[in-house]
Amino acid sequence: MKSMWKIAVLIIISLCLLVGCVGTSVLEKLGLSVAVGFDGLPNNKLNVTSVILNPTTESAKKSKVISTIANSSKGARIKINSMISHSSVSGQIRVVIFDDQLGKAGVSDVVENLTRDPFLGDSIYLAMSNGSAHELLSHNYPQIPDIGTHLYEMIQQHIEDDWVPSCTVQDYRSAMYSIGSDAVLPILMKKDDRVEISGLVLFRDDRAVGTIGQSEGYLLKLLRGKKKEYLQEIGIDRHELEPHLVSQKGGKVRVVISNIGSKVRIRLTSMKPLQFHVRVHMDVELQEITDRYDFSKNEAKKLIEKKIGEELQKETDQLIQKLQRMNSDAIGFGNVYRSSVRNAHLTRDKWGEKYQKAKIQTQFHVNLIRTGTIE
Amino acid sequence: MTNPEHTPAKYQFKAYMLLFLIPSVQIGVGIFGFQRYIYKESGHDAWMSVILAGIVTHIVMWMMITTMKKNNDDDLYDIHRTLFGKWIGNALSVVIMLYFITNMTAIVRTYIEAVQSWIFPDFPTWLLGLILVVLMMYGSLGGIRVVLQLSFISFIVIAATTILFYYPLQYADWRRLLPVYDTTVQHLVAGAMKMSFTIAGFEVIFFLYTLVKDKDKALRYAQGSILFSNLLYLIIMVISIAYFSENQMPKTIWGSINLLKIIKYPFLERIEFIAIPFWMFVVVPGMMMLAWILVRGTTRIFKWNQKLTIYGIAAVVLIASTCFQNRMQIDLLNSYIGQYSVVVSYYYPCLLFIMTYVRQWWKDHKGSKES
Repeated sequence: MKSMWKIAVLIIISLCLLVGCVGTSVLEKLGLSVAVGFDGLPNNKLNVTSVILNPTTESAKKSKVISTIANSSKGARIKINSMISHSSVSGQIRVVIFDDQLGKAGVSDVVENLTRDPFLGDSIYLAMSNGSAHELLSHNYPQIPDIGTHLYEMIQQHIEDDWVPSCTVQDYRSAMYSIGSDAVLPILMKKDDRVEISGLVLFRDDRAVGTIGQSEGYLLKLLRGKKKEYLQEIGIDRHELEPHLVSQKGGKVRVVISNIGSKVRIRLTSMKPLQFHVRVHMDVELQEITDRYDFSKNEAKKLIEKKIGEELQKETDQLIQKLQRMNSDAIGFGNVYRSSVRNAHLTRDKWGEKYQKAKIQTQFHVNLIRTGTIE
Repeated sequence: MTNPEHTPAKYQFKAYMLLFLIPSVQIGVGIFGFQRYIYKESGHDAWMSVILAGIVTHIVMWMMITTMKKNNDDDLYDIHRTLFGKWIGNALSVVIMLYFITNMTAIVRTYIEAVQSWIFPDFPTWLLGLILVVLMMYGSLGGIRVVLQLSFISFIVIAATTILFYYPLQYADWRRLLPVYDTTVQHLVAGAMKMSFTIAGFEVIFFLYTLVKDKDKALRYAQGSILFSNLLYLIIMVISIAYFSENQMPKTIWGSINLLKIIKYPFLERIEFIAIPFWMFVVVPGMMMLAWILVRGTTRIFKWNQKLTIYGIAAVVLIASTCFQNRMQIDLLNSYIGQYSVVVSYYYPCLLFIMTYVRQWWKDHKGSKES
């Protein structure tokens, strides 16, 4: 009899403990937002646009867009919630976009509050929109059924196989909170009925200070030391390749190379005056040349290697000078300085002053591995 | 006084089982966010502090086992009586028991805090506390063998979780570890002291050693178990330093969970939502072990009924843990326990070690005089 009682009590206790302790989330009743856009408005107000996956299967559009004006991002969520039939949840957000106004004013408030919420992952992509984020997200693109997922996949593809440096929340926060580096995010631009990544925006602290284009973005990613195979077009003056050119046309010779493997070494060569030496070793494959070039001779190969290197070096020098003018250390020279100087007690402000005065030399060593399947 | 010879063989276990028992007590809730406390002291050389704390722990472990060998393999409660006499010895045992019960409260409350701040913000503290405490009662009523089996599961969970930490490495910047040794010895030591809450728990060897069947191998396996947890802490610390930037680390409350936050698999986008509930397997055996030690103490000293004592302990832990309302209080509790555990797990064993030798010298001295 006693054991009967024991079992009964055990069953009652487990019933109490195990059944429906926690509030459930039924998928059909949730509005999953996939992308969120923030537009800065005067008086610190935000125009928040949320792309929500459409739970009604019959509709042709896969997502719907809702926007509202609020003082904070969570405040906007409250307002958005009152506008939809499902409860809006943020666990599936993959892309967060803010416009250039907000970018110039500082985005750390938005990003910090994204991280504060444990339901948002650290692998969310951040991007800046050229123009209003609301317009970018709410435009009716005939080709794109779901703008949120489309942007996510587009950015992901560019990070994995192309020239865009990784732009997750972790990348942004880690750069913003480090002493010697600054964040870089891609710029999204709406062009008629499609969206494209038009360039990169550079940050100083949490404020956008300037932009660079695609080919500069390529070099930036190269210098940040991410080795991936991607293409780059380089223009070389005709007369420099003269001896081995077969045909005689006008204008520049365009060479498209593919980076097979690269090694970047940034060294601090002198403290006073501050000098860095950047050495890049690149293994490249020639993908295209807009002229007939005689690759059969060894000197010809050497010459084109040298010229490609010189051209890349010239562009890199320009890029670094541009970065220094904007005082944005996107390559991370500050990290090199901090990690090679003992007892530096470096702070962000101190580094900002030093960085602009630093002399940075670059040197490219290009190794042409093959010229495709033909010479 | 119970003699270890009288411990029935069915309660004894092989020495290698210490490999599972000791880490299951050591590794618990401290590992969730120990990084920033050490980082605040010794900066990017925090990993050196972890190594330093580890080495000291190895030495203290050797001292503990030597102390027990010298005291004919008794456990701490008996050593107290031998060294300090009945009254003071028992009083010291009670102090140790109070320390353990506070520790249990801190474990329960910190774990619940992790669950609440990451997964279920509205989960009532008492309910999750009740679940933990019921599990704890079950384990410690079952005796050391149940604890042992569960700590084996916890060992596997820990080992499996460690594999996950390879993923954040693709975001790591190894330059953050440079320059090596850019701090002072004082800062390194201060950082090592902050490890105490995380690393403490190995003092359970004081109570386990008596039950080890092959005592000659006990030291080897005890050191091995400490090496395991030290390596785990070191790996997590190094990854954290490389992953978080200089000013980001001090802002991160749950460093280790944040490391898991970046992991993304196509079938599972947020691994930490699974890792935190799974960590209950790691937290519970540690609590069971502490409860088991407490009950041994109360039966030995006060001759209390074992079952009732366990219910009492459970009630105290449950009520005490619901008293802590917010993050600040929990943080304060943990930092106090950290300070106490430096005393209990490091200074105090040294004292016992010295006293044991002094006592022996005194006995030999007297013996030689008399003869």
